[in-house]
Amino acid sequence: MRLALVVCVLVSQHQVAAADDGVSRHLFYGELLGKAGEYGVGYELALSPRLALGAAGSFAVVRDQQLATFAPYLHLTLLAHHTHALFAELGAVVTHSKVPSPVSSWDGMTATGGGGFASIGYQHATRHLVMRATGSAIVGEGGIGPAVGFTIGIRP
Amino acid sequence: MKAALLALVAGCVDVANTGTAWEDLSAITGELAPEHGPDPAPLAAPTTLRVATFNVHFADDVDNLAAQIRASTYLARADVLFVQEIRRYHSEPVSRVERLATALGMTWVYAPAHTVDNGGVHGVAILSRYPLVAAQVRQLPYFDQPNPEQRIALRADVVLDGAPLHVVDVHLDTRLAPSDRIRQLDPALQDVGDRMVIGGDLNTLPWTWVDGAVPLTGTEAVVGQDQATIVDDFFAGNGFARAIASDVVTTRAPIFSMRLDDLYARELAVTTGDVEHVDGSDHWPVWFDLRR
Repeated sequence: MRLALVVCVLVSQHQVAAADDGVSRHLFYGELLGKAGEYGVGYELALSPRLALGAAGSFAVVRDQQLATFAPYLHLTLLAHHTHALFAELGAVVTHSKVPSPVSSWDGMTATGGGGFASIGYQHATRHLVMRATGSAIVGEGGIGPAVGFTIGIRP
Repeated sequence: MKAALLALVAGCVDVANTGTAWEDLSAITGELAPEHGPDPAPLAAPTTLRVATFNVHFADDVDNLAAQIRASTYLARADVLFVQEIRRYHSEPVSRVERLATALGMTWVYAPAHTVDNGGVHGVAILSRYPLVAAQVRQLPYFDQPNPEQRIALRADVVLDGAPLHVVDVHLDTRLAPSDRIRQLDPALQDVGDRMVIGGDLNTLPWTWVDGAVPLTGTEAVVGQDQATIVDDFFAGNGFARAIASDVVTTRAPIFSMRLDDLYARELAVTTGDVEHVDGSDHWPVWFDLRR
């Protein structure tokens, strides 16, 4: 209870700070090979200068295989200096895969899985433009897999 | 510019050709001419037939490879052995397949898939303690992707007390997406017969590949739908039983655990099967027993 109260106070203080520096709290982005698979689009809401809530999603068709992914997450800025920042993300991932059959003797295959991910990354940001490179460990029903992603986004 | 953009959106992998029909070995001449060894000494047909598959990674040291197989409790008793990635060089007086088969007391058929540097060829073989007849080869669909290779399937009938058993040895591409792997594999099952054994190096790397170059490792980790599972499902849908489960490792690759190789039988009961840990290659062989 005490911890929750402290977090609320910190977040509300940071919200004031975020509003004060004139940078939008909203980030819209596209990513390549990140938490949302081959590519994805996402939205992030800054709760404070160091804390944000986000979600990325995608629908990709890779050589007939249909992949739908949704990944909500928490974004935490660990270190920041001018336009540079080191950040971490922690989140969940749900993916639905459908492999349609390319041949008549088989019906194809579908599967849905869930898991989580932890990422660490570098960000270069200006007032309106954000670029990130991220390394992630994604854990789920198939074990653990590494992923390297790239993000470019705008703060309107 | 427009074409480049379309290529980028559509991806860089495509089926460049859909392969060929089964061809008799005698129809193939030149550098890729197949080999067919003499019939072995007559043997009584067994009630339980053991079939094994082994990607021998070029078989540079045939004597050691033969010694490894003979020293294995499970492989030494194999009646039929599928071999992948075995080479033949002009500079060597006897082909590596012939040396291996002779050392194991078996006959053989060998089909090169393509040429390699230094005047050699690279292909697949079927070795058997029983006569092999009706040997044929077919080119499998060719995928235009980074570092492409022509892949083939080699089939033959093993003569067992008058009732031939159809066997097919395959070696598929490495960096294929699941649907393309099924596209490449499916022709190897066609026009062979119902009672058959098929196997080899299916190269079922777990992930979906983007443009034959980038594996979606994170996606596979979340879904748990690796390519070995997909290929098993394809075979099950075609009435086949497998030798080993999709999580059994058949390669020495560091970090990642992968089942690249397996065997499947239709209209024959699989009584037991496993992977065998022997030296001599970057793969481990797989075997299973079939009740006839």
